[in-house]
Amino acid sequence: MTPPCWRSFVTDVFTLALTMIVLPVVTGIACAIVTHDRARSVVSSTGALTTAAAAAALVVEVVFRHEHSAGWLTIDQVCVPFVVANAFVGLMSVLLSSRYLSLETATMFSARRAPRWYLLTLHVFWATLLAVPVIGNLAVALIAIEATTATSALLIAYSGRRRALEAGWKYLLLTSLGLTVALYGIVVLYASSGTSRGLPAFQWQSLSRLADSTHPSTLAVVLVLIVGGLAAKIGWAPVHNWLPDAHSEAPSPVSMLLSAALLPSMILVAWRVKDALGAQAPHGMGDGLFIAFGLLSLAVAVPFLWQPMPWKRFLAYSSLEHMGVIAVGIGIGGRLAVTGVVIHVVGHALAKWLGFHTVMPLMGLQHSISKRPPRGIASVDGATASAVGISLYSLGGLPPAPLFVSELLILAGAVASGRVLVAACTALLLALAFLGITRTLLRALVDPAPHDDLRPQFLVGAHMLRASIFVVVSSIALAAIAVMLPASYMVRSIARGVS
Amino acid sequence: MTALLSSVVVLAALVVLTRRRSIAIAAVSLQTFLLAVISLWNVWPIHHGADIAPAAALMVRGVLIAGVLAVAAHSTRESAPVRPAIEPPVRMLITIGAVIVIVVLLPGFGLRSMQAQDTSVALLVIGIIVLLTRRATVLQVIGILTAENAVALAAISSPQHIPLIVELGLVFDLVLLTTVAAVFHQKIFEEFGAGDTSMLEELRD
Repeated sequence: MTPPCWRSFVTDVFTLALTMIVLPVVTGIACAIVTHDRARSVVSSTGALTTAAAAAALVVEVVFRHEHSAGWLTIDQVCVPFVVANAFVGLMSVLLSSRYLSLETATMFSARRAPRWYLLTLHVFWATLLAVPVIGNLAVALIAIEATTATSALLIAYSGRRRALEAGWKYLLLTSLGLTVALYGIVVLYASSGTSRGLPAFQWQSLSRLADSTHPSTLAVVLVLIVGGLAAKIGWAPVHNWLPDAHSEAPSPVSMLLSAALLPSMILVAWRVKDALGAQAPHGMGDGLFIAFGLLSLAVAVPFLWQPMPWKRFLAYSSLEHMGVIAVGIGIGGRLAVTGVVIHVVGHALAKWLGFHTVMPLMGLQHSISKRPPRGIASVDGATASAVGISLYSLGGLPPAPLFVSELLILAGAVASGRVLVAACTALLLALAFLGITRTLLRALVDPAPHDDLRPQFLVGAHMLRASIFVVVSSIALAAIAVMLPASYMVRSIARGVS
Repeated sequence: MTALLSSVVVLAALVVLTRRRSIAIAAVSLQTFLLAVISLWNVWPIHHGADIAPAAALMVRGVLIAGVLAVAAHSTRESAPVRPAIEPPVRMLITIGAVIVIVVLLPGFGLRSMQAQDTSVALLVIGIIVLLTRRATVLQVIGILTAENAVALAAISSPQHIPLIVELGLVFDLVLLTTVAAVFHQKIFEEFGAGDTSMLEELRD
């Protein structure tokens, strides 16, 4: 019997991916048109839920039926953790935005139009973040990323406050410069390869052919230009200056997208470039670049994780740390480290979502939260304290959090591949980061705060508790999945190469 | 061709030296138009309509970006140019030193001529230095545009045509980037009274 046509529509990975990308754009445009606040909120939430459903259907098809597609949209096993993270965090970001917009009065736009602009840019930004892991062409990916840099800068500076303008300006210029350098790299690659195949030459599957016809010394320059340029957008040290400012000053729904979706998605682009070009580059240069950026990011992040600082800024430095861990994992390669990377991307998204989700309740509980670290939260609100605690517990990589399992797998992968020194440095830096985060955790929960700084009468409600329970259950499930993952088709496929 | 490429570098050097936003805007716009001329020179005599597409894209980009920047500068009149962090002669010395080192270190990567390669590398380095050493918001944007002109020069000097869709995508991206940067410039000007990034120093650890 022929299956009904709707069934082929919802199982065709190309169609699902296209739906997942186009839906947020359509939703954003609809939000810009609808003038009634409540109707706009309904349109935004419905669009986001439908988008997330399309992403979930895509993931199911790829994971359980091993469906794939190559070409303009490259849908393969490696895009799964990134689509999962981006779809989940994007959905949560959109749902949280309604509450944010109802509370935030300051804006750089005219007050009447501000929510419409916000939702339009947020949905378009989310569409790009969903598109980047599945775009099959390096040139198209870079152009798409550069276009959304401008719109996401507006989101960062949405409040129009001085600090937000500063953060948005830094983000706009530094990441644009990085992308320009990366674009220069792909022009050099194209010119030096002598090919005249046009845009298809930049497809992930064709990129290694460009590398084959390029001199190794030129290829080394190309790799440095592209990965170094993307590093500015990923926020790897030493080109991370925009990251703590943008994460701390952006509206919290945008901060969670920047931290848990944007940075890992950019890493995937760099990963595909490394796999396509790195094999021809001299002396395993691609892996070396990733490990160097990873260790440097960890080393730069650790001292800041020991400093008392405002909550969102602390989470930003934690992002720097975790992007470093992912970079080290990719640089090491092999099944163990790749499993670690897959788990880390999803586990980090869960923990960061909860972390940024607590920002609005914390603002209600502690007057000085935007300028000082959280203090004594356990004494005023158990639900928010548990959310802060679970987020930090997970980000610190304490067992049995998924980030503990992923870090262990990456270290095991480093030892198994003979990179003992890399393993030792990573372990030392992770231990120091863990101690810094634990110190912050204890201070945030139990340290006494100045009495007039806390507002115990502010009732957060049960939603923080539900969010915490969701993260705990998901984390346990993720940690359990991690045990089975090294032998899975997904990890074997990713370990063979991602381009 | 040598005269054209030299003019492109001279205009970039002018961006390094000048304190006036209007001069820098004129210099980077003229630079983009010169790149359009170089693009036509490279494909002359023209056989197909597609041969003039990169030049047309550059012209459109030059006009739109010059317009956006001119409007932004005109609507935020400053009583005096922003004081530079590093004096012009020192800036110039840093720029010349950096350009020489990078040009000498880089291997040839297959552009039509080494002269075109050296010029494009010089533009990239100058763009980065302008962004890092200038305080005025408009001049920092012009640093990015100079670096983007380096990409454009490398693309039009490639023996093979860079795909048109990439050229058009870059035009769209740059016009969008410049427009958003102009919005930021105006907001910063309204908030701080000057388009001076040295005032943006609240976010420190």
